Amino acid sequence: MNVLNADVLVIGSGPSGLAAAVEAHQNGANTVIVDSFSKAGGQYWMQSNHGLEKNDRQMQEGANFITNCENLGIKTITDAEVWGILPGFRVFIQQGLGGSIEIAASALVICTGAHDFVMPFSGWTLPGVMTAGAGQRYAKMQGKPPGDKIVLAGSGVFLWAVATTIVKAGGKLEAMVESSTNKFRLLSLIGRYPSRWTETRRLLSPVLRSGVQRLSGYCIDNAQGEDRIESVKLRQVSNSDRGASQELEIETDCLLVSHGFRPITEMTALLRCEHLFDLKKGGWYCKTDTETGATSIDNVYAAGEVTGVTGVQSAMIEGALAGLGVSEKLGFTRNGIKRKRARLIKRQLQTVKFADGLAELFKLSKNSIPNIDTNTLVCRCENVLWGDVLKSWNDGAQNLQAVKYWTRLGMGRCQGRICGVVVSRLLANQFGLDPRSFGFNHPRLPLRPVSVNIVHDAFAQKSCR
Amino acid sequence: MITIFIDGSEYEVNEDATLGHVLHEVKSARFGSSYRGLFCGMGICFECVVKVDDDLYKRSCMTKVYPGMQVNTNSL
Repeated sequence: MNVLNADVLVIGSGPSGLAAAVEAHQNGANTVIVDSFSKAGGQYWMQSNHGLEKNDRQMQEGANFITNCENLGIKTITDAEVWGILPGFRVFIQQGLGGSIEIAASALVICTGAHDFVMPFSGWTLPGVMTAGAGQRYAKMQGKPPGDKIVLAGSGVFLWAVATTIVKAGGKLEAMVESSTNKFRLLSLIGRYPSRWTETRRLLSPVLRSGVQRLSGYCIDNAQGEDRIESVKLRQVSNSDRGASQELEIETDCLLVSHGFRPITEMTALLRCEHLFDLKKGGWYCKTDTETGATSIDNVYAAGEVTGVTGVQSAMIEGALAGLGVSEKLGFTRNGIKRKRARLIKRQLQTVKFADGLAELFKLSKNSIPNIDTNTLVCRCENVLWGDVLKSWNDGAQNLQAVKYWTRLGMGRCQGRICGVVVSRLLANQFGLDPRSFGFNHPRLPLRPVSVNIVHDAFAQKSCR
Repeated sequence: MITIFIDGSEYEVNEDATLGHVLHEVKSARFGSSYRGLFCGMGICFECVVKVDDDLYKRSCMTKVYPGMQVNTNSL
């Protein structure tokens, strides 16, 4: 097996990871970045195969940042998925078509980001129903929209970002469906932050110009189709539990849904870092020191959405702070660190305040998520129904771990990444409890399926340190 | 353009395409008694797992196409 040494290993090459790597490298630490995708940039700075970056400012910004890292001589390994980490640290990676690498690193900066989650509804496993993020990725990578009659639904400003990408890729949206009805409060929030006006205009204007039908105060009721989605039924969100709400059916071949983001905490949880819970930050996230990015475990740092979902600007600041923090911890310093850190911390205060305001506006309520019944499938891998979960609860399984033992929810191929966050919310709504009381699924080695040969090679070899 | 094989049928695809994106257009993978498609698109959910050549368990969303690749959507 190929073994590499690094002072600092950054896991994830999105905005926070790249920012962390630049700071650590510039302080003199031997810094390596790994990323599971075939190109650096993460989700926010995803790089297209189709030359789309020429008229996409966001992609261009990412390309510039990535080139800068290359020019600085920072080693970036792509197609590299971490499947195991041992203390010390030994990081095991599966690369591309079956290759295997071990990186021995003195410190880690974990920048694994977040993914969008979908609250379950009847028909959500039909092909053609996917996360809004998947639809955006498709449009960027393929240079065309993921369907002919796309419906985009859920909640949050991310819907606007996806709509913009689809319109730019030449796509047609049948409808854009937002469950919250906070338009005026949103405008007044943005109004208070002039630094966000240009960004907002860039996000809104292509969609507004396209004349897409926008429905606010509606949420998904169910999706229908034989072997693929054919239509989606929407219903008006009512503020009371009773009362008839208006329904609406739209033909579609591609339903893109996002109800928010979940921090990808497998690695920080595997390392036993302390985690905190805040629905406005996406649920469970890794706790970090706000000035240095240090987690509760020595020499493990984290930055970006894994430390709570607060958006790209905040992710870049957190990345830079973690890069400074980790290199200083390892004894690599240079002049001006203190001033730089103070500047970043000051900027971060405003950024986080804005993110908090946004999260407050797009909070999901019991009435703004799809209705489910006991026959709704909630665990897609093990085909566990909502009724099975309720039954296990009534039989005494009153946290996520116990529900898992009872029903197999979260034991399948996604390892609870898709169902864990949504079932906690559903149970909390059902019983009026705090979702944090259910805990989260603890990750196990290997973090991703790997062949026995790769595991054998990894453990047959003694650490090179 | 390159040629790949999906359940024995020939498809002409762009050489830098992602297999999951190709399957989204042409064929859903069987999962038990139902079909599943691309869902998260970023390696998290494992809904798009198919057999690729001798590899029984490949997330199509994380797999680039290559000439002559044999894909089986009915292996699970």
